[in-house]
Amino acid sequence: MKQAISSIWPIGGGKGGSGKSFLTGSLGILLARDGYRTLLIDIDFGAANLHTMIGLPHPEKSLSDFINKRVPSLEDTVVETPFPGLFLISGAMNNLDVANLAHEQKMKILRSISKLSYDFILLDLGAGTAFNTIDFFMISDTGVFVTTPEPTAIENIYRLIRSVYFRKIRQVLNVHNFRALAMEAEEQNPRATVTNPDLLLHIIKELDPEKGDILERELRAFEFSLVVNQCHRQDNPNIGPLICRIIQRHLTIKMKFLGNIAFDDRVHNAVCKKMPFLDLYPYTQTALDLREYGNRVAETKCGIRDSMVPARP
Amino acid sequence: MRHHTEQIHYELLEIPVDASPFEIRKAYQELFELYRDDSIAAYSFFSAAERMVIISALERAYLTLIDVAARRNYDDHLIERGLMEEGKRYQDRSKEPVPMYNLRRSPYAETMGPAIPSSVKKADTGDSPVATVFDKDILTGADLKKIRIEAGITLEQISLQSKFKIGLFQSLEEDRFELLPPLAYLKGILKSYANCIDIEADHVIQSYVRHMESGKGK
Repeated sequence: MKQAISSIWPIGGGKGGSGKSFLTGSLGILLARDGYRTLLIDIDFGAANLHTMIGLPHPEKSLSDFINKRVPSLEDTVVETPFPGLFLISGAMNNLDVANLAHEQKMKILRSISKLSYDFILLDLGAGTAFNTIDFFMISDTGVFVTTPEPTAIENIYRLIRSVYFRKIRQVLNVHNFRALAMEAEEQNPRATVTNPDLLLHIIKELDPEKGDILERELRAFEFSLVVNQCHRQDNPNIGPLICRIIQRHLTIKMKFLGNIAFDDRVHNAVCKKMPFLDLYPYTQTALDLREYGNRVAETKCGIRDSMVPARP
Repeated sequence: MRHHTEQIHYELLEIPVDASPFEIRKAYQELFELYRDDSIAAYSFFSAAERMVIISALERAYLTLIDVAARRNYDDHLIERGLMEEGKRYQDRSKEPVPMYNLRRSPYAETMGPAIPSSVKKADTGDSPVATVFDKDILTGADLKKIRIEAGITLEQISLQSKFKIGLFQSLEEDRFELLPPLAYLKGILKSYANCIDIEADHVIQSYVRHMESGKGK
C-alpha cells in the first residue's frame, strides 16, 4: 500500500445543530467526486449520525469494534459508501460507554488515524469543548470551525477556538520542556495562565525571547478555517471575516475564512429523505456555496504533524 | 507581534506610519465596528472590562493621529524612541498639483540605451593597420568588414542601433549588390554603418559606391 500523507481536517463547532455533520458529509461527497480518496470518520461519540447523513442506515462495522479490539486495526472498520471513492468509519452504536473514551483509547485512535492513507480524512467532531473533541484538533495543522451567524453559536465557537488554542500551547510547552518557563511567567503575572494565551505568550517572550519565538512559530504553523453556515439573507455576510480578524488580532494563529453557506429549508427535506442535499437540490445557492467551499478545501491540501502525535510509550 | 496593550497607535490601527487622515479614519471605523458593544462578531470574546480597554485605546489612537499637532508630537516621541524613521513622517500632499499623465516622451531607443557601449567605440583612422585599408579609393565589403572587426563591433549591434535589418549589412559586406536597395537608400545604410564604427561616413559612401560601379560584385 502506498504511504501517502493524508490531509486530515477536523471539523468542529461549538454548538449542536450548526451543521457539522451536514458539512462533513457534503464535503466528503464533493471531494470524492473530484477524484480524491476521502475517508469520513464520525467522532461524535455517543451521538453519531454521519452514516445516516450519507444514506448508509446500517453500517456493519464501526469505531467501537476497534476500541473493543474486535478487529485488529482501524483500517478494518472502514466501510464503503454508495459514493465511489468515499469511505466511512462510523462512530455508531451499541456501545454505551464509548461516549466517555479513556485517554489511552483516544491516543490509540489518534495514532491509528495518522497512519491511514487517504487523500483527505475528514473528522466529524461533536459539539462542545470536551477533551475528546479538542484532542482531535491536535492531530493536524488545519481544522474547520463551523458556526452560524447567531450570538449563541458564536459564543460557543470562541469558547472552542480558545480551548483548542489553549491545548495547543500546553502541548508545545510540554514537547519543548517549557513548563518551568510557563510557571515563571505565571509567577510574574498571575493573570498569565494558559487561559489568557496572548498575555502568556507575551510574558514568555519577555523572559526568554528565543523560546518565545519557538512557541510563536509553532502556533503560527497552524492554519484554521472558519465556515459560517446557515446564513440567512438578512444576516451580515461580513461576520465571518470579522471573526477571523478578531482571532488574528488577539490569538497568535492564522484563521482563514472559507465562506458563507446559505440557509435553505430544503436541507431538512434532504436529511429526512436520507439523501445527499447536493444530489437532491443541485441548483440551489446552498449547493453552490458548498461546491465553492469544497474547492477551497481541495486547494489547501496539507500534511499532518508527525511530531505532534504522541509516540507510543 | 506586541501585546495589544503595548502597541503603538499605528500598530493598533493596523496602518502604516505614513497613513493619510482618510486611511486613519477608515481603519478606526472598521475596528470600532469590530469591537463595539453590540457587535455580533466579537460577542463573548471579551469581557466588558477588556472591551472598554480596547475601545478606549482605539479612541486615544484615533484622536491623536487625526489631530495634526498631536500627531506631530506623537511622531516626535516615536522617533526619539527609535520606533519610527524621520523620513516616514506623513506629509500632506493633497494641496499640491498631481501630474495626471506622464507627458515626457520616452522613445523606445531611450529606454533601451545605445546598443553599442561608448567604451567600445574607437576611431581607427590613425596609424593602425586598418588605416591603410581605409585610405584606399575603393572600399570593398571585405574591407569594411575588416575595419568593423578591428573596432570590435558586431553586426547585431549595428543592426540594433541603426534599426536596419541585419541582412542588409551582411549583403553589404559580402558585396551582394543584387540584394541591396537603390542608391538613395544605400547611402543611408552606409552612413549608419560608418557612424556605428565611428569612421568618416562621406568617404565610406563614396568609396563603396565607386567599388559598386566598377562592377566587381558577384
